[in-house]
Amino acid sequence: MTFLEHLTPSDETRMICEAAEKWTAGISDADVRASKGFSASRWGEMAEMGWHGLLVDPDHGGLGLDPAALSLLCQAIGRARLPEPFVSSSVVCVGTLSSLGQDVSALVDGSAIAAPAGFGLPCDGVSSGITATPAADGHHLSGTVDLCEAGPDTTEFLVVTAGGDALYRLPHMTPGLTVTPYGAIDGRPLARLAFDCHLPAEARLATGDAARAAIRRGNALAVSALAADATGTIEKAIGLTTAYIDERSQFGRPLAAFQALRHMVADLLVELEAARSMTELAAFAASDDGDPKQLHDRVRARICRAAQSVGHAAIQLHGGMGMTDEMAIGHYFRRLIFLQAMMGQEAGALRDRAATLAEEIELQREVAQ
Amino acid sequence: MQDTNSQTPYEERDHIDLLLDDDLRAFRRDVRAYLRDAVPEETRNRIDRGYAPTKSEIADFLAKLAARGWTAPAWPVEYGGTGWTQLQRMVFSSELARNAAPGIPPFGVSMIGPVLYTFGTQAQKDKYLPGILSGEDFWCQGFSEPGSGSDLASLRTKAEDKGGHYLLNGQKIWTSKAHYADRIFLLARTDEAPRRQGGISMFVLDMDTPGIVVKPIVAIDMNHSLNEVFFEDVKIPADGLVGERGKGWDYAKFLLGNERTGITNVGRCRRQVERLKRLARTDLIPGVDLSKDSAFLRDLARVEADLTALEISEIRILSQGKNGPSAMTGPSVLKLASAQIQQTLAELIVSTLGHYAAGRGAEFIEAFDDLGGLPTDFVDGALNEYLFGRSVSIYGGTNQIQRDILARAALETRP
Repeated sequence: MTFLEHLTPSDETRMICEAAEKWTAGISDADVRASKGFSASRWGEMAEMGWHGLLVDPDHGGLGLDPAALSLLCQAIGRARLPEPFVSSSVVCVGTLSSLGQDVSALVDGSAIAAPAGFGLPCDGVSSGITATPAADGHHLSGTVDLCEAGPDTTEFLVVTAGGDALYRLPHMTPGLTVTPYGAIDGRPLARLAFDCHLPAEARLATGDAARAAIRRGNALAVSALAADATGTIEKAIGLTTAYIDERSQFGRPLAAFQALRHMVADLLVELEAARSMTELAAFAASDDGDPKQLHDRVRARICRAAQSVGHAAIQLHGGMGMTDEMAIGHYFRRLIFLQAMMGQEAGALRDRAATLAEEIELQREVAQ
Repeated sequence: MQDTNSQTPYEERDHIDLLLDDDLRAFRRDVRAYLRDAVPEETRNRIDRGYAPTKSEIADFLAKLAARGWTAPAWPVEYGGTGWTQLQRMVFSSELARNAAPGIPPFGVSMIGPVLYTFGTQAQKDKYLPGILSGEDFWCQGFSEPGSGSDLASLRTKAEDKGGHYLLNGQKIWTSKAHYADRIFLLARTDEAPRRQGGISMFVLDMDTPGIVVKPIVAIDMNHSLNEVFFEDVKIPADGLVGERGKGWDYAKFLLGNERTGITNVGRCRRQVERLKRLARTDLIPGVDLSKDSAFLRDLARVEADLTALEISEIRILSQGKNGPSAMTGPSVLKLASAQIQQTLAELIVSTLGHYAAGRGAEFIEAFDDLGGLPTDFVDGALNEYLFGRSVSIYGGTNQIQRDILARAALETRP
């Protein structure tokens, strides 16, 4: 598939996205606030629409769509700022487990919710402090994962070891697993996990290269989904902001009549276009099994900067009202902060890309000599 | 002598690779092979270093393109275009930049050519199009005036209908290449109209017509490419009027709309990124290894991410066509993003030159002859590009005009 073909959504993709638009349009800001981080009924409706199996082969009960469709769906989720762990469970865990030929039927039908621990969220590599040692009839896991998108409704974990060389699947009630909940900046539930667990042999899904490939797959899908989520969030934040300054008057005319403010809005459109482009690139790069890291580092860097500058300008343009929790804009700003953290921040993404640039320069130096 | 300019076998896949199927890959091979031979090594090196191509370098290159029928790829086939798809044209322009080719001057091919074959008379098409296609006729653009820059519709140059000819009086400014152009297309006021845009007409005129005086403007890079053009009782033959009298403003908008494909300069930017990587492995400043300088690498990574986004945006917006969702905002978004990136790249190169950035010109280069060509390769031309590159955010609608356009699209309120 070439990039242009990727840019043209299939009929099936178009249909599910139209349905997504229609569904999210019926979800109000008050609904989202009221759900306090998770709505079981919304999760069920997502299941009915097939979202949790978006990437899963039709033979296994999924829709069999590609990252391009995922990207459009995540933009709609971002625009509506839905707090459910769609990226964690339905993208990262389902994607990773499917790539290993694991049963994902309970995740697809919405009766189970999985959380990745040590990869996926955040998506910039392996963030696990867990070591695994052989034990009688299985493995012993010890150590912590500091950020995991787990809440009261999480039913299982997909856990990676510190070196990224082994992957385990375990139920949330595993003895020896301590889940310490805390809230994310955008209101969704997170947790710190502490492991001192004995697991049966079959809990280990993959080791070595197979584990690394599965984790890479999970991270690649996460970059694509998070970038799309951020782009949808950015788009909505800009829409709220332009509506606000068209409406609000000072000095006898709408704020939007002042050129200094108009020019800030223009720069927001430039950021939005960059975010859209990087989102398309992220999905395209995640469409095959190759390693998209080099492109995804750039995607993360550019999306994070767009998220940050749009967030700042949107608050500034809302003036004092932008400082209140009452206005929706602050909630979108906080979602953007969360997404930047999950993408490793612009600084982290640039550091990663700078490292490969240094390698490229070194390689060129050797070739030239 | 250290080899700083040759292509290494290491070649990064660029955004164009994302687009290629087998047919396009074969097309690119053909274009790449032809362009490699069409651009002399010396020209390639000069352009790569940041020097503007000379008239004869441009003329030689256009002749080579004309031999393949490649001067005006976007024109309809009946007027001498190639019949290439949008994607083929994108590949072609990317290859022009990759080869550091002198480029196709926009004034004939992208600007007045399409106006003439769309609105011109048969006689005008017969007279002007062949010279544009062959690359023999150089054109310049007479739009801006001393009192009419961003506010172009306020222009005051006057063309009076004298029955059988128009009498032209006034002055144009910022006229690129007027000092060696053969012909000019220009806007002049022919009538008083209720709307100021209404009384404006477009004309084509030979530059050797009596009464035209060209005066150079030396730019901040101390080079001469800009001019003032004065018209004193210049007789424009009646057949120099383009299309209908009083519709010049519409043709000008049409002309600028056609310019959209060339504005991003992504190919040149990609080449600049590669130059920065090459610069990073030289020892221009003793004791400084840029490949281990985290601030430099971070700056490079940032502008590279910006460039990647721009490359993808260009593909997305061009592939949507003139009726796509970004038709209104696309050109301004691309122009703003591109100006930012081009200027950042030039700044980044200059910032790595240390005290060498203070030197300038042929004597400076000779004074460091023993350093293995390093200042020659990187300093003088980079300063040209840095200085003249300040104009990227001014010409073709300043950044502020582009922001006005974007705000108009995003907001209900009118200023």
